[in-house]
Amino acid sequence: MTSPPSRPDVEQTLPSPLDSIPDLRAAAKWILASAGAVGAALLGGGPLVAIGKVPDAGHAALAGLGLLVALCGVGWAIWRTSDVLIPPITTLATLDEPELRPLRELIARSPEAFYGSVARDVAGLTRHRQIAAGLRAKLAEEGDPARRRAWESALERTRANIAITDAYQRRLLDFIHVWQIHAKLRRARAHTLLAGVVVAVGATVFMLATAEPAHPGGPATPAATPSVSTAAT
Amino acid sequence: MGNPPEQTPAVNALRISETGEVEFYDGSAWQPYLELSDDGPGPGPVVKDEGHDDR
Repeated sequence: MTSPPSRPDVEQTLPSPLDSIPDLRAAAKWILASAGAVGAALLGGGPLVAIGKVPDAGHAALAGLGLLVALCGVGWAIWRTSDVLIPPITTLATLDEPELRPLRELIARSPEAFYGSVARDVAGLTRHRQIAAGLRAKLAEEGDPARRRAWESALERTRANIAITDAYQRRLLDFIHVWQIHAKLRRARAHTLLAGVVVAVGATVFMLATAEPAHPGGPATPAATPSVSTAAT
Repeated sequence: MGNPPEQTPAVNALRISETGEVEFYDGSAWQPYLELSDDGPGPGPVVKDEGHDDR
């Protein structure tokens, strides 16, 4: 007599999707460090450059405005990127959110990669607890012994089914969680790009306001070089 | 006078069929409630590039 093969454990046979979170967060930290370096350069170097080069209050205000705009750009990038480091709350309902549409499409293309052979969709994974609750309610009000046996037998099956589907649910939750962070990182990169444009605009305004004033009347003409007459008298 | 229209059961509603099987309503039809057979997960989606770690 041979014993039945043990059921493969989805949690132990496959790497956890959560393993990729440190990589995603590391990418976010690189972006934060870059934005922080730009902010430090602006704050540390900008005002020093401006000292003594601003001819009047109007230019000083313009330089201040440019610096403020540039720092707002840096702050914007840091704000959006630090969002990646905040752990999101994940439920199976999160899968319906718009930012997870690519994951939904991926699951639709290969449901067996996410549900194994036990379900074809989220409802198929989650129905067993609800059915167990329904069976208990039926048992509580059932008087016929034959029907009670049928309800009890089904209740036994729900326990086995819940044990199987829970593992797939946990893995799907892991995927949704990772995808949320991935979506945040993609959004942060786009915002950082836009913030870079804002920083460039602010820095340009600042540089224009602190540039050396041009000589009135156009560029200075070179002084005439004295010539020495060598004509013999 | 005709019979009143049959109400659509709620999803995961339960009943015992004429053959004595427990059935549940999956949203479109009544299905027998069976024990799942799990063949285990496939290789699954790749979630981490093991060869790349330059943190």
